[in-house]
Amino acid sequence: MKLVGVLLAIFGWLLPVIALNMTSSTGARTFLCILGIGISLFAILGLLNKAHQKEAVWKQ
Amino acid sequence: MKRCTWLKPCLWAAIAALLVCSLPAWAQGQTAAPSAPAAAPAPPPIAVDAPLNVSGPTADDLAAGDPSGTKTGTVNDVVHADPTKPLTLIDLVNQAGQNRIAINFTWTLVAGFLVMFMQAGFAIVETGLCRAKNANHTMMMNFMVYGFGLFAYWVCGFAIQMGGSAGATMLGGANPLNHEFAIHLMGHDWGLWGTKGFFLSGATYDVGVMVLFLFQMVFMDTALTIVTGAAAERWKYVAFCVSSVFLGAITYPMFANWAWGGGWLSKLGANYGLGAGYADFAGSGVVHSVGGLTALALAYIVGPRIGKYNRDGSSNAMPGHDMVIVLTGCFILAFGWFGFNPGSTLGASGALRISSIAVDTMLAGCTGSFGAVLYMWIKYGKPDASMSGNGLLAGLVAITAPSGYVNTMGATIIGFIAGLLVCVSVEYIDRVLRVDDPVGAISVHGTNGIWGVISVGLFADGTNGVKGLFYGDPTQLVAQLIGVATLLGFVFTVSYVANVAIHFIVGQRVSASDELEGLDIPEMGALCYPEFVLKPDTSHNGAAASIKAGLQVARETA
Repeated sequence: MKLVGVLLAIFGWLLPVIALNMTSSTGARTFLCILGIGISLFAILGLLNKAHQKEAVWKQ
Repeated sequence: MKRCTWLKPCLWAAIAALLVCSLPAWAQGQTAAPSAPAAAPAPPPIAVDAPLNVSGPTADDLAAGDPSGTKTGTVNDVVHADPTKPLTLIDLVNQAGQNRIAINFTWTLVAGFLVMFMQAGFAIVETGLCRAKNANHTMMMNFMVYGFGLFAYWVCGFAIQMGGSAGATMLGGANPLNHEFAIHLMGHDWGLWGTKGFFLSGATYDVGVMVLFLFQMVFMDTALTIVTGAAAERWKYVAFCVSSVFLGAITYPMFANWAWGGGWLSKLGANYGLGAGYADFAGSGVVHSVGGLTALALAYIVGPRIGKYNRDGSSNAMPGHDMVIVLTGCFILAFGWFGFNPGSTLGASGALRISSIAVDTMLAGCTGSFGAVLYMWIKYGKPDASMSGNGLLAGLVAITAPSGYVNTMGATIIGFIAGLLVCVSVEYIDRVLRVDDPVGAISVHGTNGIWGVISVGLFADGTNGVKGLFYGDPTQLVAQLIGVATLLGFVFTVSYVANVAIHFIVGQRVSASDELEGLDIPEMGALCYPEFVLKPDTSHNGAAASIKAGLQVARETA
């Protein structure tokens, strides 16, 4: 799950960067940026955190 | 009566003579009116090396003293290119240029010294918010991060960050920093890192480069010291050393190059028409978000302190041991921020907006603490001291990126939102994510650093070349959002992967027995407060059970 989290966080970054060449529409670019940030946040705060919580000291 | 018969012919003759005489004047008046002014004669060429006939106070005048100050700072003090010859115009012109750069050098260096002093503020804020049994360890992390960071930055960090920046015109150009490694992709050059300035050797042994190095180095060190707060009270010292060197040598300089060193983020405006490109005036993203997101990665890896969470996942408060030094540290940081933001102009001559930047900085810090106090007072009935300090810092962090681009109203709003945001973020990270951050570094620097980056795209008023959404340019917001995506996707993941690797090599977390004893003796070999009686905190429900469980883990691991 940690690896998936890391890869998804990177994908969330690359999505709006690559999309710069796919569209010149400011609205579309804004949407893709927000989508990419959302994906990265989900990966970092959701997947990675969940993976680390499994082995948290207070659960042992 | 006899009439004068000769008078009439004389009068007519006089009138005719007047008419004849006035005709040329009338004709000249008719044709001269619309004529263009004659071209001014070309000025004689200025002989820049001709001696100027000026003189200042004599030696006898100066020997008499100068109580009024009128005899000091005269033509006598202008440097002659050739002291054996009289003063020339070229001497005056050179002196003017030298004065401008001297003013900018002085301003930037003094601002850098102020930022360096922020290390002391961070050190006592973090130490005060930790328990007394870890005070020596926390101070030592904040103390040595300065040395580790400086060394790493001198070796390669500065070159990666600024080696292709082409220097700064405010500091005389610093032209030796003139090569950026870039890849050509999708029709554009994507600058990735600089290649000049390793060890500050070769042509980068340059006065302008040295000023730039000092100023950028203390910024980098600020990012490094943020991390120590989030991992305090359980971070193994050797892991801290390696992690700090990596952050100062690689992660921070890479993102800083993209934003400030001529890298691809700064070119989004020129290459893709996104406003002025990614704009981060003094580093909400470059400094604070980088530090805050690395702190989050570390907090994941080292895990929460023993006793922080109960078995049902509920959180226990672990108050710091000295609120006096916490709030004193906040004041030191607020003082140092006057170097951080106004100093980022890299000069005072030709950059008089330093006054508005300083006022923006003050306002946002104040409204940040207002927002935090208001939130805590309404929600918990008391104005919490540590959150007041964090609110001040949150406002300062948030205004760091937009301080050069927004007006006072924008700064006030940005700071107030930051003050509310830091409280919400601390609660979310503590209770929902269950990530242990003893000093609130992730919320203060990570969350509000990102808010600061976004706020440029909203509040920038266009006065200084950057215009945000509220002033009519939505494209700037896109550039800022790409910067945020890069912080999350690149900076966080690089920090996370690097620190996981360090964890496998040297281990990131101290043993449970060391943690329960306090890290001063096991890690540092000496107590910070030898006369204090240190005891486990069992004042909170559930904490005692968690500490007992921790002791059990300690016995097993021992």
